[in-house]
Amino acid sequence: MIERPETVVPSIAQRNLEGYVGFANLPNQVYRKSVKRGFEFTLMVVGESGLGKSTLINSLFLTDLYSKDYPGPSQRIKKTVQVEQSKVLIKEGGVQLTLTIVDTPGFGDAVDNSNCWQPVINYIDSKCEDFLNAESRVNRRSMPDNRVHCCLYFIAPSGHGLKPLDIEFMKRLHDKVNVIPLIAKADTLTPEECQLFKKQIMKEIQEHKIKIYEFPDTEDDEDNKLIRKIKEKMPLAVVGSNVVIEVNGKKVRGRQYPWGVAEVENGEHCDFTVLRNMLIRTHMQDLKDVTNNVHYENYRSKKLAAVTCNGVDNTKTKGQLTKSPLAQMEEERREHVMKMKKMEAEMEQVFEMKVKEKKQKLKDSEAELERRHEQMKRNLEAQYKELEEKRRVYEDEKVNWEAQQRILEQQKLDASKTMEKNKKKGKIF
Amino acid sequence: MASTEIARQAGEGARAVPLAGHVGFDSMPDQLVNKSVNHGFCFNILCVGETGLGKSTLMDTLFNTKFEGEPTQHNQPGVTLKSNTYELQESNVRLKLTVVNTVGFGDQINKEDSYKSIVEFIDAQFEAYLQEELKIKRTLHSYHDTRIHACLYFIAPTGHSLKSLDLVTMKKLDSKVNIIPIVAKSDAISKSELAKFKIKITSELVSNGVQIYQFPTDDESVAEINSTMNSHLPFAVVGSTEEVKIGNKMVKARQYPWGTVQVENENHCDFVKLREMLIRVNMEDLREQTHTRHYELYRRCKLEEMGFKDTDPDSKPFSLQETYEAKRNEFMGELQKKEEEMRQMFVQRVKEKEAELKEAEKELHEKFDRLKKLHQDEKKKLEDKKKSLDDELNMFKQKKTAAELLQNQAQQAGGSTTLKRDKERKN
Repeated sequence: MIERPETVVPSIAQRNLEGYVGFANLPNQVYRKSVKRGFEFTLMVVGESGLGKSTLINSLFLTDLYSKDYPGPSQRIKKTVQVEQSKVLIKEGGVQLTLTIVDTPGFGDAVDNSNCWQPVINYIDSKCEDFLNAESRVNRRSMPDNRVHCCLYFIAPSGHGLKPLDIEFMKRLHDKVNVIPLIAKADTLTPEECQLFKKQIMKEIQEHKIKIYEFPDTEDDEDNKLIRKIKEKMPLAVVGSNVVIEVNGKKVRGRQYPWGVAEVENGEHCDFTVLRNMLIRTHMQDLKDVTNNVHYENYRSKKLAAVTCNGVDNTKTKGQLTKSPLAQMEEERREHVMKMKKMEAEMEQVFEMKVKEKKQKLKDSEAELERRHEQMKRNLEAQYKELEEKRRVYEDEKVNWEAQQRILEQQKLDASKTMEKNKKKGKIF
Repeated sequence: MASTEIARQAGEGARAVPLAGHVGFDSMPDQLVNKSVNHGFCFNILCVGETGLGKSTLMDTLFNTKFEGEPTQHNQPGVTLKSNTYELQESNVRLKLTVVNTVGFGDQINKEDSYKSIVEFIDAQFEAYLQEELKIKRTLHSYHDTRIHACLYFIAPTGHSLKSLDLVTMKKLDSKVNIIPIVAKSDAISKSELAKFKIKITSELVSNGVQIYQFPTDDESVAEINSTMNSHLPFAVVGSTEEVKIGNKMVKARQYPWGTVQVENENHCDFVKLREMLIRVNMEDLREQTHTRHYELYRRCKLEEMGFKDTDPDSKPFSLQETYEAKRNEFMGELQKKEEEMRQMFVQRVKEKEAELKEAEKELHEKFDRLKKLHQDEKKKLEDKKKSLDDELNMFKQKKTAAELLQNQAQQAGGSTTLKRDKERKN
C-alpha cells in the first residue's frame, strides 16, 4: 500500500461564527485561480507493442494524439527501448490541460528484455531531478511540473497470469510512480475468463508485494461505496477504439466483429468508462498529489541523503534526515568544534604533563648535582681540616723540637763554656 | 481564457488538438477544490497598530466571533507579538485562522526599534517554512503554514497625516508582507475630513515609496470590483461587537448620544468593503502573493547569504547535488584546515618549550661545570699545600734525624770525654 502522508491537526481553540464572514467563498477563489493557471498532467503508457496503447490514449482523450501527421511510436520500428513524449494542449469547458503522453516503444519487444525498464526508470528520475533542481534554485520562477503522474501498464490478455517481465517492471517502478495495471485488448476474454484473470493478477500482485495505485478513502460513504466497487474491478480490462460505429441508431466507439460490436464505453463490455472516469474525471488531481507528496519526496530525500552523507555512512539515524543538509552541516560543524575543543584540551593536558615531567627531571638533576657538589665541598673541607691539623701537629712538634734543640744547644754551649773555663783554669790535667 | 496563455503554452512545444467529445477533465478545478476543502485552509493576519485603536474589536467584528484577549495597558516596555490560532467553520469550509497582535506598539518614548520585533516575527515564520522546505525528509503537505498573509496596519484617526512611526514601520514591512492600511476608529472623523485624510495618506505612502497591497485586477471576474476597491484604500473602519436595534433588526453598531454608527452600513464606514476584499474575494490571492512574492524574496536573500548561487562562474547551471557537494567539500576542507592549524600550533609550542627546557638544562650543566672546575682548582691547591707540608715534614724529619745523629755522636763523644774525665778523675 502506498503510504499517504498523514495530516496532523493540533488541538486549537474552536470558535463559532455568529454571522456571515465570507470565507466560505474561498473554494471559489481557489477554483478561479486554478482555472486561470491551467492544468498539467503527464501520463506514461508501458507495454509490449501491439497491445493497443496508442488507440487507448486516443480513446481516453477523444482526440487523435497519434495521427497521420504525428504518427505514434508503434508505427516506427524500434530496436531498443525508447522513451518518447508528446505534448498536447486540450481545452474543455474553460479548463485548459497540458497533457504529456510518454510512450515506451520497444518495451518488452526484444528477445532479451533484461533491463528494458531502465530507460523508463531513467526518464522518471530525470523528470524528478529537473523538478528538484528547479525547486532548489535561488531564483525560482514558475516550475513546470513534468513529472510522470501516472503509469498505465498494459498486461497482455493471456488469461493466465502475469509474465515475469510484468512482475519485474512493476516491482521496480511502484516506488517511483503511480502504477495502474490494465488488461489490454480485453475483448479477447470472455467475462468469466476476465474475472479469473483479474483474480489471478491481483493475487500475484499481492504475493510480490507490488504497490499499485490505491484509491484514497473519502469521508463520504457514498463515494466510498463507489470506490470499493472500482477496487473490486482492478485491474481494469480495457478496449480502445478510434472508430465510430452505429449501433441501434447510436453512434458509439467500438470494434466491429462479424459477431457483434464490442463497445468501448459500455460498462458490460469492458472497464474503459471506469478507467476514464477514475483517471480523468475523479482522481487526476489525486494522482498528481500522490506523485508530489509521496514519490517525489521519496526521490528527493534519497537524493539529498546521498549528498549529505556522501553515501559513506549508512547507519545515520532517522533523526538526522529531518534536517536540511545545511542544518546538518551546521550540526556537524558544532560537533567538530566540540571535538576540537576536547582535542585541544587533551593535547594541552599532555603538553603540561610532559613539561612538568621534564621540569621535574631538571630539578632532580639540579638537586643531585648540588648534593654532589656539597659533598665534594665538604670532603675538601674535611681534607683541609685534616691538613691543618697535621700542620699544627707538625708545627707544634717543630717548635718543641726546636725549643729542645735550643736547650740542648744551650746546654752544649754552657758545657763547652764550662770546659773552656775549666781548661783555662787549668783543671786540665 | 486569455489567448496569450494558450499561445504561451503552445509555444512550449505543446500543440493544440481538438476534442471529439466530452473527455471530462473540466472537473479538474473541482477535484482540486474538493481536495483543498478536505484539507482545510489556513490564514494568518497580523494586526499592527498603537494600543487602543480597536484591533481586537475589529478582528472580532470581522470574523463574527469573540477572540481571546483583554485590552492591554500602555505600559509595555517593548513591542511583543502575541499570536492565537482558532479553528473556524463556515458551511463546509474549515479555516485555521491565526491572529497576531502587536502588543505595546507605539507606547514607548523611544519608538525607534518598534518595527524590529515585527520584522523579526515575520522573518521567523519565513525561516520556519524555509527550514521545513530544506529538510531532507519533509512534510510540506501537512505543514501548518504560519507565514503572515495579510498585515492590517491601523492608522490613528488624527485626520491630518501619517505619523512618522507609521511611515517607518510600513516601509520596513512592505517587502515582507501584504500591507493593507486601514483608518481605525473612523467614527471620529467626519466624511469630508475623511476624504482629505485618505488622499493625504495615499500621497504620503506614494511619495515615501511604500508598497501597499493592491487587489489584483488580472482576473476578469473580479477585476472590476477590485479596481474600484483599490481606489477606496485605505479603508476607514469601525468595529463593534455590540448590537443595537435599528428598525426591527439587531445590527452591530456603536451608540452615541447623537446617533448610531452602524458597522455594516456602507455609508457609515468601509467595514463591509474590507470584509469583502480581505475575506470573500481576495483571501486566496493574499496567500498566493505571500508565497510567490514575499516568501520567495526572503528565500532568495537567505540562500544568497549562505553562498548559494544558481550558476557557476561559467554560467552553467548548478545542479542541486553539485551545489550541496561543493558546499560540503568546502565545509570539510574548512574543518580539516582548522584541525591542521591546531595541530601545527601545538607542534610549535612543543618545539618552543623543548628549546626552552634545553636552554635551562644547558645552563644548569654549565653552572655545574663551573663549580666542578672551581672544585678542581681547590683540590689542586689543597694537593699543593699537602705536598708542601709533606716536603716540610720530610725536611724536618731529616733535620731531626740528622740532629739526633749528631747528638748521639756528641753524646757518645761527650760520653767518652766524660768517661775519660771521670776516668781521669778517678785516677
